[in-house]
Amino acid sequence: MVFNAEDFKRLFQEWSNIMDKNKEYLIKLDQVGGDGDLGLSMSDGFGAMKEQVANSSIEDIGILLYNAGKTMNISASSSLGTLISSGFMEAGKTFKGKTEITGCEIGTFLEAFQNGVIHRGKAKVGEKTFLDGFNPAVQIMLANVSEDNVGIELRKAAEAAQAGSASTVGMLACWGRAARRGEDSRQILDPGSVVAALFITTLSSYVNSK
Amino acid sequence: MKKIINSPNTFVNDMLSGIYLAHPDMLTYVENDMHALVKKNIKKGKVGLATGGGSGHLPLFLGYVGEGMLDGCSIGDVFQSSSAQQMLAVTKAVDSGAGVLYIYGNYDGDKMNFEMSAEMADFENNIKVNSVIGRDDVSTADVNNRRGVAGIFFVYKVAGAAADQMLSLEEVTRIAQKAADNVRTMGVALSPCTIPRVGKPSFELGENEMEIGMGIHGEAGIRRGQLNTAEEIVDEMMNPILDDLKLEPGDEVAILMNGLGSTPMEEQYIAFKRVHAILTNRKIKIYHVYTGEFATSMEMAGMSISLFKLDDELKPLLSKPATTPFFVQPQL
Repeated sequence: MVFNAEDFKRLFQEWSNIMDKNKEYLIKLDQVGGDGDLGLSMSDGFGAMKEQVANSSIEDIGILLYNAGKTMNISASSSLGTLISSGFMEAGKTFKGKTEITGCEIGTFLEAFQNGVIHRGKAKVGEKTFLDGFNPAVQIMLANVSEDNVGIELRKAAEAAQAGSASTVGMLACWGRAARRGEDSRQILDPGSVVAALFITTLSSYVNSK
Repeated sequence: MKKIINSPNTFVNDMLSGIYLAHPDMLTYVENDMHALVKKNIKKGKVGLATGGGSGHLPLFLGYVGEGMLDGCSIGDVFQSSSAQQMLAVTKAVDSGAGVLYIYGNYDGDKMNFEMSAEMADFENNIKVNSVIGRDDVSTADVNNRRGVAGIFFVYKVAGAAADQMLSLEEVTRIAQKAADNVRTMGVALSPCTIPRVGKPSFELGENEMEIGMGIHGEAGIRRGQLNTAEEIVDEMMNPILDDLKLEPGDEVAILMNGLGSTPMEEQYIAFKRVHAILTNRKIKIYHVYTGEFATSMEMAGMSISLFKLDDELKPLLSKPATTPFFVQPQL
C-alpha cells in the first residue's frame, strides 16, 4: 500500500472532521485542568491545515506536511497547537523529496512526528501529556509492521493510543496549568492525550478503508 | 476595572496602530502584520537583535526597538506568545547577513515558538540564530525555572551596544549571556491587573495585603502578607537578590527601579532611599540608577528592583547612548 499527497489531503480532511466533532468534548476536558481553549485551537488548527493542503498542488509529501505544520502554528500558537505543528514539520523534514510513502513507513512518519513534539515540548512518556496517547501507537507501528498487516497493526495502534490516553487518569501532571494542581491533577484525563488518540484512530480508519 | 479602550477585542491592534502612527520615523512592520515590528533603519552587516512576547507589559518588549538597542520584536495577544511565523517574519527583516540573536523571557509559550522560529530561519532561510533567555526573577529558587522579568532591559541594552560595535554573532551572544547571568530581579505586587478580554482581575489581593515575588502575569510569589513599610518591603526584596548575585564589597552595580503600572514615582524613590542605604552599608558601588516604568503588568500596582553586576566589559557597553520611542539614554 502506498500513500501520496492526495491521500494526505483526504487524511487532513478526516483529521479536521474528527477535531470538529470533538470540539465541545475537548473544551469540557480542558476546562477541568487547563484554560478551556483546547477544543477551539484543535478545531481551528486542523481546519486551517485541511484548507491549506487542499489548496496546494505540491506533490512532495515532505513539503506538504511541513507547510501544514506551519499553518497550524499560525492559527493555533497555543501550547498543544505549537507541539502538533512541530510534529508535522519534523515529519515533513523526514519525508522531504518523497512523493509516495509505503505502509511500512507509517511508523517512520509517526516516530518523526513524535520526535518533533518531544524536541519542542521536552516532555517524556508518563508525564500526562499528548505523548501518553501517541507513544503506544508509535511503538506498535515501529515493531512488526509489513505491507500485509499495516491495517491490522494500525487498529492495534489505535486501541493502544486510546488505552494510553485513558491511563493518564492517575498520572501526576508535570506540564501546563494542570501541574499547578499537584496531587489533585491525578484524577484529570489529559485532553492532549485524547487528541493523540483521535489522531491515531482517524489514521487507522483511513488506511483501513483505503 | 475602568479602561480607556474601544473594545476588548481590538485592544492589541488599536494599541499597535497608535504606536506606528506616533513613531513613523523609527518603527514599521513587515509582511503586512502589525505584530511583526522592526526598526526602520537597520544597519547593514550588524548582528540583528530580536525579542518578542505578549502584550500588556509596555514598554516591554517592543519599546526597546530603536537606536543602540533592538532591531525587531514580535508581539502576541495580551500575556500570550506571538506565533513562530511572526517571529520568523521579524528574523528575516532584521538579518543583514551577520545572523540574529533572540533575547526573550523564560516562558513555555515564548520558548517553544522562538525555538521553532529559529529552526525555520535555519531550514528555510539559512539564517543563523542564537538565543539568550532572561531568567532574572529570584523569587523562584530553581534557576532553570526562573521567569524573565524587568532585568531583561539590561540584556537588551548591553547586547544592543555590542552589536553596534559590529561584533560577531558569537561575541554578541557571549556578552548578552554574560549580562543575563549578572542580573537579578525581585518584585512586589499590591493590586492585580485585568486582561481586557477576560474582564475581571486575574487574582485577588486584600486592601492591606501585598505579595512578595509575584510574577508580571500574576504568577504566585514567595509570600503574601500584610502590607509593610517601604523599608521592610525593600529589605525583603533585596536580601535574595544580594545573596544570589554574591556581591562583595567593592563590586559595582547598575539598578533598575521599575513600576508595575500604577505605582507612583514617588514610591520608587522612597524605596530607592532604602536600596541606597543597603548597598552603601555593604560597600557596593552604584554606577547608575534607572527609575520609571520598564516592564509593567498593565495597571498592576507594585514595583520591582533589578541589580546588574558590572565588570570592565559590561560597564562601557551599558554606558553607550540609546534612543527608542520609549527609552532615551545619553552617553553615561
